[in-house]
Amino acid sequence: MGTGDGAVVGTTKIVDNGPANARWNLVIMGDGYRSTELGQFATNAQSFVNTLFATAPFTALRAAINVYRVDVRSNDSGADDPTACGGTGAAPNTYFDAAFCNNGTRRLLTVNSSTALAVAGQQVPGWHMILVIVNSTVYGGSGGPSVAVFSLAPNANEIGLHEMGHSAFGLADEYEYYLGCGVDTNRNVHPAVEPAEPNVTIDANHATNKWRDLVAPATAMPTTKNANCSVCDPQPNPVGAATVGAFEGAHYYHCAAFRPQYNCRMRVLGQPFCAVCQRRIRQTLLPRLPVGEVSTVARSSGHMDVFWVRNDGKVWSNWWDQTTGMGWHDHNSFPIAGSFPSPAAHDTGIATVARNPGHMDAFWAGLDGKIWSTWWDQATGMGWFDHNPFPIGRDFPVPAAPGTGIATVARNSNHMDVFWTGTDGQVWSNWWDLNQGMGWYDHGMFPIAASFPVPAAPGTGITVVARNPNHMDVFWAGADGKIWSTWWDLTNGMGWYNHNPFPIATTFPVPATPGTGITVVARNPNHMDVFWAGTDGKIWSTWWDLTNGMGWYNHNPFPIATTFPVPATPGTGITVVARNPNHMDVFWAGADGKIWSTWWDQTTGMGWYDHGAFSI
Amino acid sequence: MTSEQHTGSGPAGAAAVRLIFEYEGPDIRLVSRQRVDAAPPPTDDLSETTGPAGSDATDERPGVKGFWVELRDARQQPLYRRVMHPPVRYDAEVFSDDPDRSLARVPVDEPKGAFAVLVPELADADHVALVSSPLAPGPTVAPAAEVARFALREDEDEADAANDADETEEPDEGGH
Repeated sequence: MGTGDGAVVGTTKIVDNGPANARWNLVIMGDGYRSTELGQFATNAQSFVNTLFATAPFTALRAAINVYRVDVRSNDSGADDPTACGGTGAAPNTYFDAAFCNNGTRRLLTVNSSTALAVAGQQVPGWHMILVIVNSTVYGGSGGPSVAVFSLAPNANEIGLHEMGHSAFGLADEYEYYLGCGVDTNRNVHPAVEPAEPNVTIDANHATNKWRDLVAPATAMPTTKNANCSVCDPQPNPVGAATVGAFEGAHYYHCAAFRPQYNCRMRVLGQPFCAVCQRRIRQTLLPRLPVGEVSTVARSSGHMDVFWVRNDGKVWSNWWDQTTGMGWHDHNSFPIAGSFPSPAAHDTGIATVARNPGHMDAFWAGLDGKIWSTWWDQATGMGWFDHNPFPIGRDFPVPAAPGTGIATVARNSNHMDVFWTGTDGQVWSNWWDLNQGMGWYDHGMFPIAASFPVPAAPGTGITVVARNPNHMDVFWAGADGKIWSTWWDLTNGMGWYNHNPFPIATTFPVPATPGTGITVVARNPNHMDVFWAGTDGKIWSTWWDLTNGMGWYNHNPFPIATTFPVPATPGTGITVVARNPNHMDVFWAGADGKIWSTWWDQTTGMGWYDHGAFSI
Repeated sequence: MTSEQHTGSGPAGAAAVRLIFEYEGPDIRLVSRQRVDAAPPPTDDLSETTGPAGSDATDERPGVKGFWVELRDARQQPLYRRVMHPPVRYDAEVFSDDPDRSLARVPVDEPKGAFAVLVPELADADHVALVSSPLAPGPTVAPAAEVARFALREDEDEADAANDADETEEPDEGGH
């Protein structure tokens, strides 16, 4: 029995977002898989990873997570399934001794947690969470303080997610019973002792509740009351599913304990994590995120400013000037405001523009779902620390989508347009003009089309170009994996709502990768080149020219190199620069953590396929 | 075994210590102690020394129940705290097909198992404490208090680190 019934075969890093000492490391092991079944285990492990990264908030935090698959061979398939619990009586010899019927409960599927801890420690010393998938289709699983176990039954992945909530993030159970509704006799009223876990409380007071910052002023507290504390509260949700409040019935008691939302994965499997649980997960994983988007602007030919968001919720900057003593290392980087009323979202895009050489505006998304901005001007009293960041609209009808890209363009030195995606899948915009009555708060923000045939992909990059001061083209990735665009022109009848968004190619041989960056350049006023990353790890492009026969649909998208020695990292940013109208350089991040580039020149023999991509 | 070097592509974690405990009933033993090159979870708020009823700055947080691990200095001041789902339990979670009641608990007669915690290696840390509500069967909604304390032997760590590439193992050690 036990480790004599198999062997550890090896470890594969199946999600690689960086070194183990910089990321949060999930280890997935299998039990009851014979050596000939390890391919199936790989499939099962990948299935869980797919589920994990399709689950909020992990989707937006995937860059913080590594996943290691530890292949463990067992002599036999499956798990012990004692007849005492109505099982088959199977008693296979497996490495971790997986067994149903623990404590007389058929579905309580456990493994030897000491062995699991030892194997994880040997294979991935920096592990944070261990999951063991058991090769059985009988529904079952268990949670442990460090090891969660689940089988291959449909939806058993949900057990893994719930138990991760316990083990990795210290979340409490939110269900309002212990043995079951109608079964318990000693779970009527929660004693007056506050649970330490972040997602349950005995305090339903608006002013002192521990998740009060997430409760809207108009939300009643408590939000629901159980009229009969001897039973589970039967009332349906009286408010919206996303409403955060204090719902009575939690932490194994019918009354006097409260949960943050009506439902949550910590209350019922298959439900999303509630906002409070998501925040706890985010707080744990945020420090493990790499630096996010970066934006740069050259205010003059001898000066550059770079901006990025750190996981402290601030936008940081540093600058370089060609003047002696003003290089990168002659001063320190700095946050661009004394305070940030709402922390910058860790996965926000960031956009900057210099409307003139003595002025810069920066834009980013806050954790509050608003687009924020601040500015710097070389005039005295107008520096970064002389004013506070501000949201660029009085009201945001729809919050900015998590991980939204942001784009801005100054069509002239006294006008700016900003673009982002909303949680409704639409691309939104707002604008500012120096003329009186045309400030940020003098009009509302708006979606840039009357309808979007396909919603914007979650976390898509977004890019805009003004080929001339009276025309803008905007590009983003749709949820269908295509690159979409729309445009605005000052000419009458050519506004945002006079036409529909459209995919910029008839066919896309490969879908755009989720969260891809997008960039566009107009090498001249009548030509545009667009670049994005495909799910094949290649950088793709297509182009448009005003010349007849050179429109979007007259040719197909193409990868910009014959071979890519290293695939682009998922969600890579992409940038392009045209140093002259006949030359382009493109840059992106590879899965090896290096920045890669390739270039195109109109000169014969210097096309995309005449040389290879290279790390810079 | 995987082997990786930090390449500067993100925030590296400080050195950490992984403590593995085994428990049988209310008895908790430290069975393994290992320096690892990993990033521990961020600390919970150390200024939050009170539950709704208020308290002072020690492990006892009157009015608060649950389980947490603390690193403390020699003056008993907490340097790091992480709230955990109580690992030592007289129950287990079970799962059903009922879409509305898919989770429940069943009592466990003889709790026995192992758990691990990952804590930062802090220069001022003197000991690690496990703070828990009463480890007993039945409803245990009572304030938490220290249930085990283990010394942190930095001198041995340093010697071991020099000799053994960041890994140390210690013999079993009972809490006190």
